[in-house]
Amino acid sequence: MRAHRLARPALGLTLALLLLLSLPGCAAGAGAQRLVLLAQDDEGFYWENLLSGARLAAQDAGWEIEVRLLDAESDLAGQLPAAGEADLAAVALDGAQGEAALRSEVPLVALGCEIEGASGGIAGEETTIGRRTGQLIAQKIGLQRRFLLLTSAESYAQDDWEVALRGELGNQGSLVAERLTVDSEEAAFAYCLELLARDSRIEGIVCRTQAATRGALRAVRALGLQTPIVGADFDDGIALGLRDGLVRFTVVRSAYAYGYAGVEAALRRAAGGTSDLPAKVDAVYVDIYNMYDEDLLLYLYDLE
Amino acid sequence: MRRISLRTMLLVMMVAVTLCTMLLFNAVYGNMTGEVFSQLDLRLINQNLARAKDRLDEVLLGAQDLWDYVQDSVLLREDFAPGGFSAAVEPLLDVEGDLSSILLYKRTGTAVAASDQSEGFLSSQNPQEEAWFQAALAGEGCAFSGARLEHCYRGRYTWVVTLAGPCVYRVPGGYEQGILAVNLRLSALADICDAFSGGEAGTFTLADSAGQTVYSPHAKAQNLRAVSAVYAGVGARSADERQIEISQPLEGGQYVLTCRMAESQLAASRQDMQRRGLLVLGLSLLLALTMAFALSAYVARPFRAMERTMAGAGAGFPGPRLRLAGCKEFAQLSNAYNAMIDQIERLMRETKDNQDQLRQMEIAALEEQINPHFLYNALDSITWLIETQRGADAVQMVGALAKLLRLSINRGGNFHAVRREVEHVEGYLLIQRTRYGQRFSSRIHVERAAEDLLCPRLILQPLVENAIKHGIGDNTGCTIEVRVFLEGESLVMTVRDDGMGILPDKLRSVQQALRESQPPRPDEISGLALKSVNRRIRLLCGAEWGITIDSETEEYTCVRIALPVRRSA
Repeated sequence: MRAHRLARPALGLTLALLLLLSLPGCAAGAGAQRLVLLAQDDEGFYWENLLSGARLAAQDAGWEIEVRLLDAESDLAGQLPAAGEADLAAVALDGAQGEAALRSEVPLVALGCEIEGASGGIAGEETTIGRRTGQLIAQKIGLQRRFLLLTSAESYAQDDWEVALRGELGNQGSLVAERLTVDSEEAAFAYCLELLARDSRIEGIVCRTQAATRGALRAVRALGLQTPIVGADFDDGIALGLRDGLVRFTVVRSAYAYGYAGVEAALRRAAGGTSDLPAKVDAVYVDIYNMYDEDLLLYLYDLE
Repeated sequence: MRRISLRTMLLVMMVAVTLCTMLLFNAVYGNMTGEVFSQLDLRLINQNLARAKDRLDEVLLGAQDLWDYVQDSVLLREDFAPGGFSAAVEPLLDVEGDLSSILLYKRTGTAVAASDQSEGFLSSQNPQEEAWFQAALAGEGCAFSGARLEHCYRGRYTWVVTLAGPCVYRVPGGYEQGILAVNLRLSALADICDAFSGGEAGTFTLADSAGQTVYSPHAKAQNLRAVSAVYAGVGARSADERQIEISQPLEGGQYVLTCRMAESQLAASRQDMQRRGLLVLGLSLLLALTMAFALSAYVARPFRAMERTMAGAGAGFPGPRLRLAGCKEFAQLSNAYNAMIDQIERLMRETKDNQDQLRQMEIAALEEQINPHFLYNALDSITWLIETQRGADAVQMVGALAKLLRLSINRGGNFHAVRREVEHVEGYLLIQRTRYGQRFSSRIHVERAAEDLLCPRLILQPLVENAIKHGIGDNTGCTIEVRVFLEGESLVMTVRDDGMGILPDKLRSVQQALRESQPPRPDEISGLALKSVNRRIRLLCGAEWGITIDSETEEYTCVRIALPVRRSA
């Protein structure tokens, strides 16, 4: 008698399950794995390349990818639990901000930054990049110079790149005479315009970001100066600056590699495979001599 | 031998049938459907490829038409002037949004005119070293280049494919030869390829006739290895991953559109269908199991109810009836069972009633035999005999009374020998003759062959008593004759008196009551003995035996008992 009573609810449950699974896309969608990418920004050479690479790598592996922009640095801790609902989570921050211990319920991949507790990822070898930048400054600008450093956050003063750069400059008898934090091209332009007009002892401008580079370039041109600029990232304006000689070289971090190679390696590991990709890589240093190198064309010049 | 329950049997049979049917269906149609899905996927890819080709052809042909238009309608219409050229072709760029620029070069590579001759135009550019220019110099017609980075304007770098070819332009006094280049944005072609790419549609790429990639979504990823050796292996496909490539040349044969897909991706549809099939199979089995369970329980439930009801019936009557439930056949079975129980109950009730009546009759007969009046009268007679010094007669009467009482009290079964029955009657008659004196006489004739036969106890004495009571009445000199004889297979006993007889109406009533074996009513006074004895005989020997009575008023009354011949064991 008891078993007969159970037959009716079991029958109803079975019919409900059949109905649910017959809904379009339900059964098919159940198979796709999901990657959530928390990114600090989506504009500019760096972020566009990083996100583009990440999307292509996910698409190639048959994963769904969802990109969520972080409103603020503090938003990462708040967004991470939401990312825990995915099969894999990736975080892309401006390097220095990533050094935070975070607890994640899913495997976490760090793209272009260092996250304590991340199960994998790829970032720039900032110490090497900073040192190399300093060496190229000595080569292309000269020794014993006073530089203006345009950065995007106060906290970057202690990051590996800036420490290495300052060390290398110090070895050359050069120094960072002024340090400004700018968060946009306009801010960089305004600051540089004011500073260069006021202080003629600035013998070079080292830019941490693409926006700072563009702003500094505009300011130097506006003032009719020939102050050499060390740029960051790449675009048509920076390319023009290279051609004009104002930009002596620009440091192009491997944003596309962070996105594509970083995600590809993580998904390969998630599928049980292995990857030889190093966790830290160098940047590409572009000057007037290699800006048209065939090997770099695809890397530097985006398809509009 | 252990037996399987009906429910288990039904359950196993239904599940087995469902499983076999589905496995057979899956085996026969599963692969076929998988092949169909794969064919459908390939057909879809080919359809996509054709659509992408059509759109790309449209763009390329548009560029070709534009080149022809510029050659025919701009360069040959009037004497060439850079400003005129620019004014003529710049509006074309607004219309054809996929164009980046249109340029005219001398065969030496000097840029003569451009669609946009604003300040940013780099007139000093010299494409002589570039492959597309050399191909245009060498060729007779137009040709599309591979992907290249156009830098004709200051601060502007654009990926383009260049349609270039030798042209003729009008100058004062004649014509000059040059190279006309129409730069088509590569993004226009890339957008079309990307629109058809993705997921199960595969990846669409464009290559030139030499196999060089013009556009590929993976170009940048594959180029990483050239940027740095640390990226070796990035984007490289597994050696075991087989690719399906379907290509279609574009119009003019200069470009080839290719769709690439991993074989595993194509198989995904089939695998997905197989997964769905297995899922449906599993759920269908579950459904079949559930339905089988429910159905078997539904079928078996009435039988279990019947089992419980029968068990209840076996415990004692009246038993429960089966409830009409389940299928038609079971309802018919329930009806038949209930009818059988009703019949059994009725028979048992009748048997019980008969036994009760028989017991009551025995008690009544016993009570009659130990009638207090009779006993009182007998003892009174004995006293009178003693008082009248007739001791011998008193002794005889006491002996007869003792024998009478002994025979009456003896409970040794419903039957005894005819001899004993006759002795009982003789003792009764002796006592009654003492009381009634000469008012009647009696004769008893017993056939010798009948003496040892068995007859029901205490059936003659009530009839003799009746004869004395009703036959003699106030008359004197009445004779009561008792006869016992064999008649065929029957044992017959008659009690005949030649007394008052029975009135006809009364006689008919009595005869009818005897025929119908009516039981004596508790308030009945007359005919009680006849009915009681008749009923006892019928109960003990069968309905075909019993008492008949005949009488004629003022002449006689004869009561005849018919019994089956029954011998002692």
